[in-house]
Parts: sequence; C-alpha cells; structure tokens
Amino acid sequence: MTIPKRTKKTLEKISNQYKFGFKTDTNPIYKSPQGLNNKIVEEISRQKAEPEWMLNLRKKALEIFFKKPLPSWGGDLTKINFDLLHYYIKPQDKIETQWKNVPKEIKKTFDKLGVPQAERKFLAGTGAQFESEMIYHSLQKELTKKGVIFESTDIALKKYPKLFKEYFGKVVPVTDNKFAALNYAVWSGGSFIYVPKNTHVNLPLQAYFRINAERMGQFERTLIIADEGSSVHYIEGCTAPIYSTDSLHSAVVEIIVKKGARVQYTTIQNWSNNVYNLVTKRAFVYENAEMLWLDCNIGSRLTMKYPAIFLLGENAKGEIQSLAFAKENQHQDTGAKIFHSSPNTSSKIVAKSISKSSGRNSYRGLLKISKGAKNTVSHVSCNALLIDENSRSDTYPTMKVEEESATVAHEATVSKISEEQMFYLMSRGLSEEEAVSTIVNGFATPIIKQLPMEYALELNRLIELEMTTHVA
Amino acid sequence: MKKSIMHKPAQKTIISDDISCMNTFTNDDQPLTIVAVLDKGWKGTKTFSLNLKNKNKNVNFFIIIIAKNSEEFSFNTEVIHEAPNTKSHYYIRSILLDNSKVTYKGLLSIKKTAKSSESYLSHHSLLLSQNAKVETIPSLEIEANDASAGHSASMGKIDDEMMFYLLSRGIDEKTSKDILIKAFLEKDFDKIEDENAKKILDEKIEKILKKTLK
Amino acid sequence: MDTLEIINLHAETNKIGILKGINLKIRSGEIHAIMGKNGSGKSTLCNVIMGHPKYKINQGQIKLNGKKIEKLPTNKRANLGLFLAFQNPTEIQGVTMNNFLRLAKNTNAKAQNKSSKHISPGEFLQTISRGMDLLKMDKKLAGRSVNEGFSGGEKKRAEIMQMAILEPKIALLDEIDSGLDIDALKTVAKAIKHLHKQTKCGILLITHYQRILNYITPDFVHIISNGKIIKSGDKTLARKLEKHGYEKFVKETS
Repeated sequence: MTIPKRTKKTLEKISNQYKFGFKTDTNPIYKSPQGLNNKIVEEISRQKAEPEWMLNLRKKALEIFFKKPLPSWGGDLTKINFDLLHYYIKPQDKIETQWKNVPKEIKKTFDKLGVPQAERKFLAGTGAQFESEMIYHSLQKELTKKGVIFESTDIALKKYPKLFKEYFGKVVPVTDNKFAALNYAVWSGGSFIYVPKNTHVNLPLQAYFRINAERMGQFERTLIIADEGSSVHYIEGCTAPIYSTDSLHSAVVEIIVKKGARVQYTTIQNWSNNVYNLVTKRAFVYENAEMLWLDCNIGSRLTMKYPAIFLLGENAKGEIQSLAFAKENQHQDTGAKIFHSSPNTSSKIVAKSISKSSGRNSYRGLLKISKGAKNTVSHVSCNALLIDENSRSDTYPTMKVEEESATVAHEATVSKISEEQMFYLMSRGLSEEEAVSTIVNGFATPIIKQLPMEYALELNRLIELEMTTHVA
Repeated sequence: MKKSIMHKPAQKTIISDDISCMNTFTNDDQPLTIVAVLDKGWKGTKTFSLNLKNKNKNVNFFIIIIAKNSEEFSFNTEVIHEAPNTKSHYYIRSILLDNSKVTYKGLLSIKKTAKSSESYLSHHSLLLSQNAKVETIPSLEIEANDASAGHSASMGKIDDEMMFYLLSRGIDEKTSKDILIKAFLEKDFDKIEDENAKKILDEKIEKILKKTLK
Repeated sequence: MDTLEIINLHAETNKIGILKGINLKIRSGEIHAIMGKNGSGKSTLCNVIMGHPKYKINQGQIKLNGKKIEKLPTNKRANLGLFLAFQNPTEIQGVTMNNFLRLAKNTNAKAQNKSSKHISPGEFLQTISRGMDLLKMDKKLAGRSVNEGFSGGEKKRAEIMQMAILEPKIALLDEIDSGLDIDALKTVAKAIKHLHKQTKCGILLITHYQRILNYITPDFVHIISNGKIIKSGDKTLARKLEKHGYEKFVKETS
C-alpha cells in the first residue's frame, strides 16, 4: 500500500511530538567535568562516601571499559564521544522522603511528568532519579513493617552492606560487556529491592528516571532480590529533554528470583532522540520461580537492550514480552535471551515492532537449550509491522538445541498494514489516519494490555500521537 | 553428484544429493525448484548466495537432511531480493541421530526496490538422540514495506498424540516411528508441482531411511 | 467369548487423580453406555484402557480375557483386539488413510496368527471401499492423509470405518456422537449396530447425551462422576438421567 501524499505530509508534521522535551534550570551540588578518568571515578566514590571495596571495583571496571572494543554488531555506536560526557551530576544534598521537601525546580519537572500523582493512587512505593541521584524515595508503611526494602542503590550499599555484597555483581559480571564495565565504573542511583520470604508486594513499585543536563551520562544500577515464595512488580519509566548533543544511558539491572518467587519488571522507555540507550538486564530464576520482562521501547536514538533469563532450577518459567516503536532517525535494536539448563522449564518470547518513516527495528534473540534440560518447552513469536516505504525491520533469532526431549517453536513475520483491514475499517466510516492508528493499536495491544491501566492508556496515547493527525 | 533434470514448460525441478546444487541458477524468469536430499555431512561451512535481479523470478529450495553418526551439516543461505515481484521459499527439514549436528544460518533480505516480493523460510528439526545438536539462525532484513516475509523454525521430538494414534491401531513402535519420520521429512512436498519428481524423492528418502533407521 | 475387566482402577495425570476406583466388566456382545458430565473422567477411562502415555495407573488392573494388560504397550493392546474411536482424532500429514489402515490390518492379522489373511493393496482397496460405503463417506478421502482436512463429522465416520476394517473384540467409542448432525448420527449409529451384530464385539459407549441411545440400545448404563461409577442400571437409567439430570444422582450417592 502506498501512503497517499496527504497522509505522508501529516505524518511528517506530527513526528517528534515529544512532550517531555522541556528542560529545567537547576543548580546541582556537584557536576563532574567532561570526560572519564580515574580521578573522576575516585571523586564519585568520595562524594558517595563508599567503602573501599566498591572504589576498587570501580577502578578495575574502568580499566576493563577502556580495554574492550565497541561491539561489531548492533547499532552505530561510533558517533558517541565519551570524552564530552559528564559522568556524574549530583542535583541535591540528600534523598527526600517527603515530596514537599524536594527542591522546587526538580519537583516541577516531575509534577509535569505526573509522577507523584501516580504514586498516591496506584503504587506501593516510588523512587525518582534526577541526573545521577535518586532525589525521592517512599515506601508504604506496611511494606516497611513486613521487611520489604526499596531504596536507592547508594543508600542500600550503606544501610544493608552484607545483603548488598552478597548479591551485587553476581548476575552480570564486570567483564560481561563494554557497557556493563562502564556502569560498574560510574554507576550511581537506581533501585535496590529486597522482598522477604513469602511476602507479596501487591501494588507495583515504581521508579522514574530523568536526564536533565546536556551531555549527561546516566548509569543507574538496579538490584532486585525476591526471596523464596515472594512476589513483586517493578515499573520503570524514563524521559529526557531534547538537545542537539548526545546523552548516554547505560544501566545494569540484576534480578534474582529464588525458589517459588515471582518477579515482573516493566519498562516504558521514552528517551528523547538524542539519547543512546545501552542496557544490560539479566535475571537468574530458580526452582518453581517465574520471571516476566515487559519491555516497551519507544524513544532514544539507539537502544541496544536484550533482557535475559537464565532458568536455573526445575520448573522455572521465563517470559519476555517486548514492544518497540521506531520512527525516523531511530534504531531499536532489542531482543531477548533465554537459557534453559534445568528440566521441565518453559519459556515464551513475544516481540512486536512497528517501524515508521526511516525508523529501523532489529530483533536479536538467543534461545539456548542445554543437554539435560529435559522436556523444555519454548515458544517464540516475532511480528514486525512496516508502516511505510522507508521503514526497515531485521530479525536475527538464534536457536541452539542440544536436548532431544525439548520442544521449541519459533515464528516471525514482517508485514505491512493489511489492505483488507484498512478497507473494512474505512467502510465503517473511519478516516485513513484513524484506520491506520486503529490497526497499529490492535497490533500492539497484546503487549500493552499487560501494563497497569494508567501506563497502558499513556502508551496507547503516545503511539496514537505518532500515528495520527494532532488535534490542537 | 547425481542430478536429474525434469523440464516442464513452466517449471524446472532439480533433484540432487549434493548441496552444491544450490549454486545452480539461471538468469531468466523461469520458476525454479531445487530439492537436495542430504545424508552425508561435510567439513566446514558451505555458503550459498542468491541475488534475485530478474523481475518475477520464483525459486523454491527444499533441503532434506538425514544426519547420523558424528556427521556435521553446516551451511548458510542468503537470498537478496532486488527486483520486484520476486519470490523465494526455503523449506528445510532435518532429522538428527547419534552425535550428529546441523548448523544453519538463513538470511532473507528484501531491498527497497523489490516491491511486492515474498520470502519465506522454514527449518524444522526432529532430534532423535540424546547427543544430537541443532543450531539455527533464520534472519530477516526487510526494507520494502510492500513485501511479505516470514520464517518459522521448530525443534522437537516425534508428536506423542500421533504415536499414540498409530499404536492404538496395532502398529508397533518402530514402524510407527519410521512412518512419522518419513511423513515429517516429506511434509512440504505438497508444494512441489512435478508429480514425477515427488515419486523419485519418495523412493529416494524411503531407501535412505531404511538404511539409516535400522 | 471375550471379556474386558477393569478392577479398582485409579489413574492420574500431572499428579492429579482422575480415576478413583473404577470397576467394570464388558463381555462380547454387550453394549455398555457410560454417561457423565465434562471432567467426570469418562474420556480418561478410554485413554487409560488403551495406554495413553500421559496417564499413570497408580492402583488397580485391566484384564483382557484374564490376561493383565495394564503394563502392555498400546500397540500390543490393539493386537489383542482392543479398539479406540478417538474423541478428537489427530491429523497425520504425509501418511495416506489407505496405506495406514492396510498396514494396521496386516499387522493385527500377523499378531493374531491369521497369516493367511495378509491383504494385498488391491484387495485392501475393496475392503476400505466397503467400509466407506457403510459410513457413506466420499471414496476420495481414502487417498488423503489421515484425517487431514476432514470435517468433524468426517473424522468420526472415519473412526467407525476403521473399526469396520479392523474388526476388534472390544471397541471403546469416546463420544462418537459429539459434533454430528442428525443424518450423520443415524449413519454412524447404524454402522455401529451392523458391526455389533456381525462381529458380536463388546462396546463401551461414552457419551453425555441421551441422543445416541435412541439409536443404539445399551444393555447396561453406568453414571460416572468424579472418577467413580456412582450408579449402574439398564437402559431405563438413561431415560431417568435425561429427565432428572446428573445432580440428582450425584446427590443420591454422596
């Protein structure tokens, strides 16, 4: 189907309707000079008053980062100028637990983003990170009583040193990849969550990440430990102002799901088009436990993110649902990795992508079933929708099966908007734009409907905005 | 290399037991079907590239692999659609016994100039032994929105319900398995137009299976 | 005279118990109807008798003509004269109905030492043709892959056509009436009655509706609930069930 001239013009007009593009003037307490070296790493550690083992780890990581080359696959990382970035910006002196105490300008930013309101209504706890530090953290009293921990990672290092050291770095080693090493060197902020045995956190915990300064690097580090029989749902959202210069977001998320526990990790990534988003996310799942990654990527210039699940115990279950939207000058290089090494495990991957204008979506997946993972069942489905003639979709799934009793099925399709569906909708009175928007919405629905309602509504609205005429 | 060529006015079908037959390609717009029945592995990885530069060209590749002992079958295929209205289909089925290994990378690429083109790939494997290994990477690079492309892959064992059905009619386990393995390998043959070719293939596969599935 | 005996049968799947102590005896020439709600275990009973791998017998026995068969593989049970008409017959692409049934017929004949009964392809075509006539089936279906593209009704007819060809001693018919319109039901029921008269086979007829019993008169009716037979009677029991529903009997016996 060729898009008629009228629609084309409309689509061009409303592209980049990024409502989070505003920036806030603030006076940070400390802003590291541009560039990255040992001195800056030491200063970060000093500002945080960290124990020596953490400083040593940071220094070792920096060495590894400089040594490792950029990956030869994936998106174009050659334009990142590591010397021009600020790797640490501290916006205020301490973390507030009462919203009224957060500095005015920062509060305004988050008010505009709707964060504290959501907390009052729908969440069990909220964290907000501005530049490099968490500026706000709260947790429902009953959860604190039950022994649930939800803190910024920096605070957790100090408050729960034993627990922290036991799990930090156990899922993603410092040598894993160049950007994990970078995160180890300059990490700051992020969430630390511990849920005690048989404790269920019934409302989601949320964290919201905001990059504000120009040429900023944000490196949050999140660690979630769900003890035996527990369950928790964590949601993270992220945005940044639009600048002509680039920013870098390189996070590491480690999750441990112990026997019988369940963790859901939902991400709604909506960085502006000047952000490079390179994230390493991995979960270890033990006997009878379950992990669900729900990953929605609609922003950034380039995202490289492949949530991974290691099914390490019998009957473990892993699921990765991902939705990616790429419009002009955007490249979403996303995927999923699942490793089966125990018997009777099952996994499911559903990846949907929408490419518009010159947007490019690449799916990179790995499914590995080792010998001994008896009776594994795995199902992967990837569907790509190309809206117009300039969009592009790539799919690179790898399947390695070494166990004869395993059953694996994989399917992928790439298609354009169906003419029959368009005809049907327009014959019921919808305009062409409305019809396209309806179809795109329907395509994304299986994933969006799994989000908590207010996020689902917001995401639907964002996608619709990208697709239809803007109503003033 | 054994080759039998059947000419029909609109269709050319080539049957071979050597995978190099995939390099056969004529620069015309005649539809082409190539069927390779492979029961001997090789060292290293073989790569086969195909550029579809002629409008309306239609190619179908069927690859049947019967892997045994410690044989390895490692190969890559790549098809690049450049001209409009071109079609390519890859149907690959493998059964793996003993310590055999199949490693396959199949890339389907449709360029912007290849309007209304179609490309599909399927790779289905039956693992029949504890030490057999299969690795498959079916990839898609699609730049034309007015095209349709897809792939599917599966690895598994013989379907339990089908086995039960055959057993319930008194057919013994080995015969039931042999029937289902042959049916699995020939499942895509309904897409081969040449009836004569289908007969030859059926006999060929029957002969190899009889020897292999002792 | 052939006898199928089920003694205190308990069976489970996925660690969930489904059959909780079934006792039943079916002799040549007898028609037993088993009626029960969805989930009562009636289909499971058929599958367990035939040896479906997903079920595990944790107590009890199944005897065919005095011989214990609960540890025998499925095909050996078929060789001994058991037949199962599936509720949802599976499709097997690439294996023609013709070749499949001829192989089954010859295998069973060999197992029963009726060596003179080996059938050639030509002879078999006649046999299968007769079977298809009996079930009023389109002859073209014999050349198709097993059950592939068959409608629900055609699949059920094909099951009974197979029964006609294989001539079992005891036939287990798992909801043979489900999905059939009036005409198909009449044809299938007539065929079953004809085969019953001809071969004097024993029949276990699973159903949850009275309808088929209007065409095939059972000698015994058993009501199954929650994995157990809670009441047995003659054909009048089926009419009582139709009138009062299952709840009455479940209440009565609990």
